[in-house]
Amino acid sequence: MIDTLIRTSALFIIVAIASYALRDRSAAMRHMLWSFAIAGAVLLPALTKIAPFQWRVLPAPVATTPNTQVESPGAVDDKSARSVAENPSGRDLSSSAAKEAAAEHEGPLGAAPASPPLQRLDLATAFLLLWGAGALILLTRLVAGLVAVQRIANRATEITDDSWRSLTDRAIRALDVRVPVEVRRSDEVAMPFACGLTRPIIVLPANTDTWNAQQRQAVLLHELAHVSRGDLAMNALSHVMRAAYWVNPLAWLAAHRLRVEGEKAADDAVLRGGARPSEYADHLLSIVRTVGNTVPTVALAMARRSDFEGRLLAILEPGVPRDRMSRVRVFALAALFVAATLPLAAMTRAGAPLPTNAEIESAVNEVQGSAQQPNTAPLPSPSATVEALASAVSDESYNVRLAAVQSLGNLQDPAAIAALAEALKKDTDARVREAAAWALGEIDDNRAVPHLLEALKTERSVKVREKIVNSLREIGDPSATSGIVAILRDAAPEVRRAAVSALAEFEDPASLAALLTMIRDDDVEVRREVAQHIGSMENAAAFDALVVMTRDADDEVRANAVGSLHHFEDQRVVPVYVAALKDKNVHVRQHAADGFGNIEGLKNAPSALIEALQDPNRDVRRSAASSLGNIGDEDAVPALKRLVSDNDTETRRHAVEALKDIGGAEAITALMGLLKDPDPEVRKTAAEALGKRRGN
Amino acid sequence: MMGRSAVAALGAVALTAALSVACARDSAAQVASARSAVADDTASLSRLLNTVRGVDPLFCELTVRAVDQHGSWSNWGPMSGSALEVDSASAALVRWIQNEHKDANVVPRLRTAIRDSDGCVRRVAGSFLARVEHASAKAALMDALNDNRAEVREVAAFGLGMAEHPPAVDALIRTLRDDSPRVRGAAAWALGGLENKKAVPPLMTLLARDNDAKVRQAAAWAIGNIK
Repeated sequence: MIDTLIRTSALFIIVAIASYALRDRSAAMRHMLWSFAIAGAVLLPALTKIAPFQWRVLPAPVATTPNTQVESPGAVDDKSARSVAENPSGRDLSSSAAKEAAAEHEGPLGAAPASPPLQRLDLATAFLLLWGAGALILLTRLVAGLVAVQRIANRATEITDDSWRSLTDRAIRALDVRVPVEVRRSDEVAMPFACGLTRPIIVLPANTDTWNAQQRQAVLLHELAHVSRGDLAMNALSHVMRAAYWVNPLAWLAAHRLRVEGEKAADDAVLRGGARPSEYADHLLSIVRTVGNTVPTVALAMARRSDFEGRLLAILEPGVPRDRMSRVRVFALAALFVAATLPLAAMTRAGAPLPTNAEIESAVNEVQGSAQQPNTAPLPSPSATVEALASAVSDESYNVRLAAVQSLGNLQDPAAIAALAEALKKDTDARVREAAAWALGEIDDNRAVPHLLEALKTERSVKVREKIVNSLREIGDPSATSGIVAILRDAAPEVRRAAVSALAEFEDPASLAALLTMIRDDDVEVRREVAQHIGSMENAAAFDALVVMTRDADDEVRANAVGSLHHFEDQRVVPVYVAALKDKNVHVRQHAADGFGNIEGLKNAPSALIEALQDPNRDVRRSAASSLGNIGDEDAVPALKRLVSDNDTETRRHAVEALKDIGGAEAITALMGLLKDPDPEVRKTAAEALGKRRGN
Repeated sequence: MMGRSAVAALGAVALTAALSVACARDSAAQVASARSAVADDTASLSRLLNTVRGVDPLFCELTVRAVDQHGSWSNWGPMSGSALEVDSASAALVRWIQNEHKDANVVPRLRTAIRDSDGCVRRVAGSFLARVEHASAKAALMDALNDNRAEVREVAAFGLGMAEHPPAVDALIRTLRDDSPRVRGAAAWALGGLENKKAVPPLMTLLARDNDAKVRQAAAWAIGNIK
């Protein structure tokens, strides 16, 4: 089951890459590729059974059998080797790397046994049930959709009008359609679509009579192209495939890409039939504008909102190859596809078979070896171990005391708190006290808090005080707040930094107020931390403090302060941001430009923000454009129009987005003009903007 | 009404079957060529041992770590100052160290080298024996644990810890009563690495009673590592 998922994922990824590589070729070719992928995904489970050789690359199954468990102890775990190798040299284990190493030591030989197989089975069953239920829902939806569409088609009346007849016949000849196709009209739908797996029917909306001959021909060509290319069957198959593999997001991508490329290929058929791109695009736009999505996705509706911008661009883009697939090309592509995906069918799990005789022998030896030495020794109760280490905490050698304290931290047993508190208070060696402070944080039990706070008052070593504050933050008990607030006056900047970040993490309003007293601290790191966190208080005192900090000497303090002011969404911040837009630091200016975008009730764009569209830094220009879009002031339109010729692609996109957001006659006119912009990026965004505006 | 794409997809299935047969032959040839790639292991080993003979203790430490930490080498890059950088063949040597070592042919050479008169040669040989994934390599380490020279037993104990060889637990527990404090310390470290709870009571005794601080330190660390 999982194998099939891996295989199909690999298949979809290969095809996605190939289709990206072929992005300059015709849509029909990419559609063919996605068709192969979908057919391949449906057929893969069967193909795997008949593949004549096996290629061992898939991950070996999870070790549940004795056979695979035997192999793991033989492998050298370099992590544990490292900690064995490092410790003789007396390395400080209290670092976070030591914590990691300790966590990883629950490895293959650790006491923790694998979860019982029964539980695993239940999980697997639950997953299968969920998968099955999802597939059933999607298949039900597919069948319901097919039925609904077929009913609409059955109720529709056949078009017998001569002008339609001759147009239809001409299109059928042009596209070499070999099956009988009926064209009908229905007043239940607002969008042309094709349906019917065995007997294709094209259903047109009632308003088609108002269309001119070119528009009628375009619609017929588009829908007949779907019929002649077999898109209806392929689309149904893609729905079945998606239902079967719904847990895999790539299956949804494949189904989506198939649809998109199919539509583009059908559009290409229309353009090959002689339609003018601009007129056809206009016609499609009008179809999209008049309707909502009422046709189920199993029918191939002419224009769907979701993938519409891409199609519009593809139609308007000159020089895109629009040829259909010749028979030779189809087979060449098929051969390439098979060559690329063949190994997928042959993939099989690595592992069990093919061991050498020596490996078998050593595995057998190991099984027997461990069978001869059953683990019958009585396990010491945790408190016995802790007791042994606790007595070593008063060993005469500092190295032994340090190792014992670190081991107590690794074991994370609250029973060790008393011994560690004693070491923290009385040990003569600062390194041992530091390790004790760290270990109490590792144990993460709030009974250690009073001991830590008491030691904090009298501790002479800066490093130990810093570790104590870090451990208090780790434990996260609010009763520590006042003790940490008291240490904000510590002489050592490292300790003040640790205290500030602990208080920021506690997010207790009282402690945040204490942070306000730190805005003029000597240490720049302290001020940076304060500026970053006091915004969340959202009260007048914090606001005033942040305004002071926007004039700090340090760039990062000012940037953090302006960023923190984003918490305040009223117009008091406007003059602060206006001043910050003139800052020498890019980040300060950018945060200020960003901030204008979320001020409530700001209707008029400040001239400073419009001027920021000419900022030397592109990030500032982008942010200014986005904020102007949010404010929606039409006064900004001329400046934004100028920004559309900016030399930075992303900035141009932001400018076009802002024009879309502002709206109004002038912005729309500007956007229409941009559909013919030489830059494809700008055309794309303009098309997106106009496409999204259709409902208004 | 199957369209063109569906027909082509069926064609793809037929081609798959045909090409599969052709590819089956190739895979057999690949297996054969992979077998022949292990021929010069013994030569590379000799070069490594000659490189480290008589080097400064710091160089030796770095080299031993290079051998132990093969897995993380690709992330860290070669350690500067290692004895492996002294000759022009070092690049080949480094690549060779990063290999999986399953070749039992190197074991006899390492069995001799772990008893070498040079300290660094002994240490590198011990680390290497820990890495060779073959029963005979584990057996060589177990034998060396009973050698009559303390410096050989010390290297063997470290090696057994790094090799994570579970059957070594009992032998290492016995080694905790070794006459040499260096050997007792190494055995304690190794037991910490093996993480077998059976070792905790003897380690607790060692922590309480041993008169050598380094041994007690190792015991304290090992107890904390066995969860």
